[in-house]
Amino acid sequence: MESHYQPAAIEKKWYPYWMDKGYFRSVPDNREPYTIVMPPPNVTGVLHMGHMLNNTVQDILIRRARLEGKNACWVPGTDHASIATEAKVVHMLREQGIKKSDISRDEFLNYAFQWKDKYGGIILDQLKRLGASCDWDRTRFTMEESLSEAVIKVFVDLHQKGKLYRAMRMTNWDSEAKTVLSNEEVIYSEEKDTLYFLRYPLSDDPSTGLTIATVRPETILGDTAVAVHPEDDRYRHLIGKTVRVPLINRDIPVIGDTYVDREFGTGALKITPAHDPNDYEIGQRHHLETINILTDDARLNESAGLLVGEDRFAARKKILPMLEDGGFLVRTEEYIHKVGRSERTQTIVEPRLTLQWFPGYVGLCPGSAGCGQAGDVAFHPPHFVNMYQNWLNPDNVRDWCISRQLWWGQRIPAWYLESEREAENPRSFVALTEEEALEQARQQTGNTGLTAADLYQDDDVVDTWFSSWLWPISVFDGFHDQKELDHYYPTQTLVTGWDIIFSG
Amino acid sequence: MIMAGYEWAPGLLGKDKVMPFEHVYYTGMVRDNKRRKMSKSLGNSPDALALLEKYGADGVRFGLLSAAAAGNDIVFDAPFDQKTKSILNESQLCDQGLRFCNKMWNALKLIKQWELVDEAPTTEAAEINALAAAWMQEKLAVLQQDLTEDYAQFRLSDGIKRLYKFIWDDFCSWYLELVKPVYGSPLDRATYERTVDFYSELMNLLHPFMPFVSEEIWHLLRDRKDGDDCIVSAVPCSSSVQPELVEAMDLMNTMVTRLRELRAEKQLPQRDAMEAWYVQTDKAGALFATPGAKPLVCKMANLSSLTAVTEDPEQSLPVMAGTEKLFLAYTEEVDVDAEREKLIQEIEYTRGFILSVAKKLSNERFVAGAPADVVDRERQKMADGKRG
Repeated sequence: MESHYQPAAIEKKWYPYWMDKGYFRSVPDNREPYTIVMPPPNVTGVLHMGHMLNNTVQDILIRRARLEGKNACWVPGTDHASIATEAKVVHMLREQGIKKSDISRDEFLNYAFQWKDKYGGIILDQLKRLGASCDWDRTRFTMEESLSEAVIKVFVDLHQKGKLYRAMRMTNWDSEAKTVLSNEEVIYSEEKDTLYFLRYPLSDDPSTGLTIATVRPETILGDTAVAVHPEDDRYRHLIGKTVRVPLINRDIPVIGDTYVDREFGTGALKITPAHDPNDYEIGQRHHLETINILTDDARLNESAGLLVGEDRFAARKKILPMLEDGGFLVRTEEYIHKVGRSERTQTIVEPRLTLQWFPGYVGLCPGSAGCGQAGDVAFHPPHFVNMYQNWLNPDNVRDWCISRQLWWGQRIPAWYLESEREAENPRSFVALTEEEALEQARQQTGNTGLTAADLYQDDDVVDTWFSSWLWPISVFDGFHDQKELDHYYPTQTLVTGWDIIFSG
Repeated sequence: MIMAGYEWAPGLLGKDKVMPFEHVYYTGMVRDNKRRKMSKSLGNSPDALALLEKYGADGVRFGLLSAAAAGNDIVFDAPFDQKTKSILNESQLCDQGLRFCNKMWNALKLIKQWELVDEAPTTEAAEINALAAAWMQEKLAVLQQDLTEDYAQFRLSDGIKRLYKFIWDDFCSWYLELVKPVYGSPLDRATYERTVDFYSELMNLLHPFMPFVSEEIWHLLRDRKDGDDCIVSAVPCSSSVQPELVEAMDLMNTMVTRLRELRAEKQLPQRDAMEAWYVQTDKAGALFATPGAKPLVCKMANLSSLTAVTEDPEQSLPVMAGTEKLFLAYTEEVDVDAEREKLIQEIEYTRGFILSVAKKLSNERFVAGAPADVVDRERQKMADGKRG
């Protein structure tokens, strides 16, 4: 015998031995099942400390169940991590001199699958080093055919039940990846900026006016009002009058809204409904015009009227001397505030009005009581149930944007009429196949002469979350055939970091 | 996942199947020693694979788990390089896991080198071994229950710490020492087989936490039939039958510990067998009426005899073990030559001392200049020195 314990040699011996003996394999039988589905790590991820802890815990539970004589089944797998993987593939293509915009969707997906085959699943091999006793024959991937089918089925089903809708909403825009992000993909941190105090002259008496404060002076080009608190003695006499946006001389109303914080800045707030979520809501309340001044890569567009084609940050630099020359820049102040950046590209997230798909959460949780009363699930430690219930409280629930302007993911099964391509509210036909969508279109329009050429499919994909929330059912092909699902569902334990509680 | 369960599971499977899982276990975040979340972008996370390389999978699993109570963030102990400020792929916790593997490895080697015979060589040995085995059986029953409860409550961190302590302290440091044959003599086969059973049972209980070392030891403990592997061995299920044995062994353990401490303090070599006595109380009486108890204490504390007394024996040192009082024989042996040498040295020292004080006192400037009490003190020293 060796004088010291030799972990490397011993680990190399036993893991293949266990595999050869089929000890990790599970098929339905008469024994009591003990099932764990691994929260799928990103397919291109590498093992980090969090994974090691999380998977050690799962392995302990599954090995104990095996020793207790249960039919222990640990299902491993990875998710396709749409935005993260797409970003990596785009980067790889760029290094080869290929631009995403120069190739077709199918070509891009070919590259992405090649990438996945080459680098994907490394993390699963790393888990084997840790001793993870997963049933590797059951390894699943959220983009594989069967799981993608489930996603499409579920999308159509929710739509039929009226629990899924498409709407123009204020969303988080990643101007580098050119996609919307969920709130969870935006990381906020404090950053130092400059607060610019700008004077807006009164339309009918330019010698007077009011001063607003902003960190984004270039967005004044999209202003459609200035708001003050209706009880603010400094300003309330101005409500109903109009002021003039500097440089472009657009007359915009001064409105009264209790949202305004009299203590902040000057107490007068510029309203840019197209580029700020709060301004958007104020805009809705006061029926203000919404002027979108940015392109999808965050350059000023024609509607800005000035500095067209300039990047938002370049425009900010260039507009300052113009404001100064015109006598509009009153003063500046250093300002520390929370700035949201994209988790993937680190670019500053731009609030932007876009047309997206949303599942209605309230619709998904009847009376919110159903899922909110989590009594059927035991939480360890128990106090986490509060976080869960709090999250499901209808007051805190905001509909989750599930569409992404990406290619790596399941393409949204919605078709639209070519004739309504530019329409503000195009009709959509959601179906499993193009044929079914065409049939719907014919019926709804009364035009039996429509052909597939008159329709086009939504270019967007659904977020990875829309795959992973089905994981405990889809890994057993449950939407297709319930034989295995019936044996293994409900699973026994989900082992997860606390953040997953916010994803359904 | 829960919402998807509500939405589709009842339709797919029937209305009693809704929730996708029965339990949700929250692992905490892994943080560095400055309590920042470990992340690639912060560069404060050790390389997971390097840790596996260095400490083995079992060592790393031990390190992570022993710091990770459910839902609480774990502060992983990888240090930072002082110069480069980059995190090192090191961990005391994982190292403790690897050392634990080595401890079990050494215990295995110890067991494997014992010479075996059919019958215990002495009655005392047979009694000690029987008592030790009965106690281990009892302790294991309690351990099984505690672990079952740990699993039910998802207290996995408590589970691994419990196993660590049991295997290290109770099994290796106490049980194996109890049954270990005295130098040069063999062990009876029955005790050996029971020891292997106990160790196997511990490997079964440890397996979920440290799967590799447990499987290796499982197979080295005895030849196994095809398929008799630790990974699929049945969880043992024994119940407590002699709970009083635990308390009795605790008392014996305390006695041995106190006697060993006393010997260390008085520099009485542990290898020398010594006489000892205990005060005859109801408790001690009951304890030493148990077959094997007296020889067990004698073996572990290396006593030539252990006798009941009602009065303090002469030439002995008392020691308390809980409520019980013991005495260890203690005669001040006189080594004439050594004692003479010691006395001569003492005389030399005293002479020198008196001389130095006398010199000081004969110095007029000192006597005149020093405060009266200092001079008095010196005079007193002189008197003491002369008397000594």
